[in-house]
Amino acid sequence: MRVVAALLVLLVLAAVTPASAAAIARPDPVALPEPTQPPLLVVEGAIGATNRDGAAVFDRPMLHALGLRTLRTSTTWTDGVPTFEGVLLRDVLRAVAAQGETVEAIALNDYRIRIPVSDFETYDVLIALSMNGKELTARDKGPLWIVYPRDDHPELKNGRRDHRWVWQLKTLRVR
Amino acid sequence: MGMAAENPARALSAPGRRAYLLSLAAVVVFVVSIVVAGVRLAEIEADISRGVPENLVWLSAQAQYEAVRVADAAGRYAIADPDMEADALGARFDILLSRLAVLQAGAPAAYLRSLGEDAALTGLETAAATLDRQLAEAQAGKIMSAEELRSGALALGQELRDLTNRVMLAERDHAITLQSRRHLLLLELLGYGVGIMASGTVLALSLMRGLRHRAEAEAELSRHRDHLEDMVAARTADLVQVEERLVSAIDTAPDGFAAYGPDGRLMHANRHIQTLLPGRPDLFADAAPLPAVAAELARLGVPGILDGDADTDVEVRLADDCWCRVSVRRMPGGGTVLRVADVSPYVRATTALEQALARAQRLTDLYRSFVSMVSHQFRTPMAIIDAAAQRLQRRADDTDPEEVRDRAGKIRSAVLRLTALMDSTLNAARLDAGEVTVEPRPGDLAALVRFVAERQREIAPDRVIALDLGALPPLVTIDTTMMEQALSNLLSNAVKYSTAPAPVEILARTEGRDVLISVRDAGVGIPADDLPRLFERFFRARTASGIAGTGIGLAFARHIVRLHGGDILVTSREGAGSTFTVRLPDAVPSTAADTAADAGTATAVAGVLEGIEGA
Repeated sequence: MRVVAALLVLLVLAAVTPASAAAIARPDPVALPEPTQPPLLVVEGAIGATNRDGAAVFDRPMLHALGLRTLRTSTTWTDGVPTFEGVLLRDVLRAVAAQGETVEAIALNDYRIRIPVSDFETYDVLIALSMNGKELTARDKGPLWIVYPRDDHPELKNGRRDHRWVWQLKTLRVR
Repeated sequence: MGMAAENPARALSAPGRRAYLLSLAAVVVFVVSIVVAGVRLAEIEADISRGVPENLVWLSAQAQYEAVRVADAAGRYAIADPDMEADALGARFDILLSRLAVLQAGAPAAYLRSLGEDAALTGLETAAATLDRQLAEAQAGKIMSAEELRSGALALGQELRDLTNRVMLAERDHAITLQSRRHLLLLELLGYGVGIMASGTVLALSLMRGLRHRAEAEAELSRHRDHLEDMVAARTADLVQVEERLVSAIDTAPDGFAAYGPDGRLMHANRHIQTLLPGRPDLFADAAPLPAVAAELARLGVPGILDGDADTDVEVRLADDCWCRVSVRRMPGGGTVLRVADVSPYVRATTALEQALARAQRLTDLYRSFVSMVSHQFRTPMAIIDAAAQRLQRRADDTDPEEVRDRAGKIRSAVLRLTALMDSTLNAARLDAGEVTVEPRPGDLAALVRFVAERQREIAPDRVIALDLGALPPLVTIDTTMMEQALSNLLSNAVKYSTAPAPVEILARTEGRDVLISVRDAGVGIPADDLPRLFERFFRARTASGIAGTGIGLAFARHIVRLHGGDILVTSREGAGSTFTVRLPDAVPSTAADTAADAGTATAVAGVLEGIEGA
């Protein structure tokens, strides 16, 4: 396990270094547009772009503006193979000029977990906004759900990373 | 090794087959163990990767926690807590619903159903719907509904706690089952590991044994090969020695030897064969072909002796009256040996012996003829002498001198014939003894002929002997003693085989330096078919029967003439007479010196003639 961890760290370093370099190239915080609708996601921590007290607050139009992607994959929590629509997590991190190696994802019920940034570089991890064409709600697993492209990568199968599928995502803290 | 590789099971001995079967079984056990162990390991892997149950306790506990929080929020909402607005209550409820939703779909729901919790799932759904309705009423301002919501949420929490408990217990059972299953699997795997190890050990041992056997076999093979090489070397040395001995024996042998290989090429030849068969110098060169010898032998008059496969022995006549015995021996291996031996001495000895035998045979025949001739020819004169002597004895008292003379004359005549017979016989003996030799020297042939004619007249006074000797030179090279006998024989024959008054003629002439003397009679003649044998000793022509004779005279005469280098020719007609011509080649001396020297010799001849006449 130690060897695997060391390898992972190496991978993370290799994947993150260019992004960090790009971030360093932008020293001053860049102002993000103000949200016009109820906020869905707050990104805080080591970020280079903010729009409220050192944090970046996204509403639905702002997330939409980052570019929607669709992903069809099975999950541990649903029957059948649903189609998700949302934004790439790495696009969000780029939009806020994130400068960390880990992201702490926090849910509405205060579930929290640290995910290495390399996950988002390696895989097309989505912050899903809708499933099967229906917007996700807090009653379901919404409004935001971190979805891994499980069916595209063998190492993501068998629920090994199910704990990183954070639903009712509220906050991302970049560390 | 090769046989074992081709068909191991059949080629091996009984222990070997056992080891082979053991190895085969080990391989099977090995493979089966590995396959089954792999399958079992895959099953364990599948068990481990089923991670839902652990999550479910947590999920259920989370839902329970959210239910309690909703109950708390509802309680506070009922007492109009300023921190608990309708929205906040709704948000709490949403979270609770989302937690319930997680349990109601996907893998968690499937797992709960597998635990027989279908009723609990239905209950959750019903409770959620009821609570949702109460929430809506509470938010609309009904305090009672908020209270109901609180107690309903608490009851839901109770239910969820019970569910959590049941799931936990089920999971524990499952975990224990799984653990014992894994334990059994591990034991099983251990068994397979032992099987793999055991079979691997057997395989390794059999491999090592095979390698050891192979090494031993190779060592044995190597020893055997060395031994073979030594043996071959020793045999080769022996062979070389034998061959050297053979070669030196062949080289020093008195005979010629040549050995040819199966390809017909010369392998070895000694020097003698080259000297014995000196036909061509390259006949026995290195690798010379056998057919060349065959051709050479064919040239020497012995063709085809090398054609067949049979052994052959032939005698070959070479130049200089040399004889070689050529032996051909075919070797079993296809080679050919040629032996050439010089047999000239043996052949010559054989020839000499054959000639001697023939001569002896001839002599025996001669003497048989001689004896019969003598017994016949001697009887007549003896009878004449005896008759004359008896008459003289009976009339001794009254015999007149005339009759005595007549009788004495008859007795003398018979004695003369006997003497002549004796002379002939003696001559024959001299001929056989090889004592007759001639020493020709110049002499007066005319005088010799006249003397011979005179003597014949004494024997036969009633006969006319005509001489024509005018053509003779004064001196002729002859042996007068021998020639006198030859001419005397011819003349007495002419008188004997003719009758009075027919004359006998002697005619002499010369042809160049040759001298020819012919004696002609008009007598009985000689049959033509008797002519070829006329000069054979003791041969007498058919016309000679009834006339006394020995058959020696003519043979003796020709012998003497031939010793002079000449010959006697005969022409004859039966009933008309015969002519015998003596030809003496080169008998006329050519030089004056000869003539001078011969004057003395002529005197000597006269002396000899006196002597003969006296006898």
